[in-house]
Amino acid sequence: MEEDRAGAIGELIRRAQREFCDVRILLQDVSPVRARLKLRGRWRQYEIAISEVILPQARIYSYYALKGGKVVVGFDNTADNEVLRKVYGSDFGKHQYDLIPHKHGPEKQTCEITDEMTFDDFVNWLHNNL
Amino acid sequence: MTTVAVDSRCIKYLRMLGDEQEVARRAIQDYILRKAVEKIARITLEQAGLEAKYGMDLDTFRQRVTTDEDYLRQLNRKEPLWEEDLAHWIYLSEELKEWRRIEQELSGS
Repeated sequence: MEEDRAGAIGELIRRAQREFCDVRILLQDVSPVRARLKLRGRWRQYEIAISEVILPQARIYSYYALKGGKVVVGFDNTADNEVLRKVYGSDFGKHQYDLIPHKHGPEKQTCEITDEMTFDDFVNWLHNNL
Repeated sequence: MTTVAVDSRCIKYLRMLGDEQEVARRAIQDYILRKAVEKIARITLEQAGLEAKYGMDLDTFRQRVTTDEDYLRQLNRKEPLWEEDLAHWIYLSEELKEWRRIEQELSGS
């Protein structure tokens, strides 16, 4: 189990180093049941912020591209008030801790529900859209 | 029961301290306990950093981002990468529970 998680985190770092420049690992931990990674990099003129947290019951991700510190695009699955209302309407209070994949647009002014993303999906999205 | 290979020199020293099985068991237990205390200190420090950054504890923060529209709007402007902080905060909270459980279990034995 620990080897799987360590392997997954290690693989993600290798891919990030292949895809991005100036990759810096800010946090990296692996235990038998949990793992986490937070890294920064650069792709073309964009700052890249990647975060993966693997828990026994869930995977929480966050893949962002920023320019001058402002969000250009961001994919994550942490439900916030806007996302919960979009999905559950007025019933959102019962689903506070749900993980809901979604995409933030420039400066987080827009938000849309998406399928679950992986690091590779994010890289493909960058290549196809930015 | 799992067998662990130990250097013969260490076995010699363990025997100098008493029954090698018992001394080894206690040494491993003390080592894990010391590591648990270190982990707890490190996790608590990182959690305190997040609490200071957001001015509240994890439960309150989760409550605010999921229920308070105005707070969320301000947060998205001020800390656009707050989602990754929240994920790591949750990770720390789960790790802390586990290491505290280990610490209690070993302190009591």
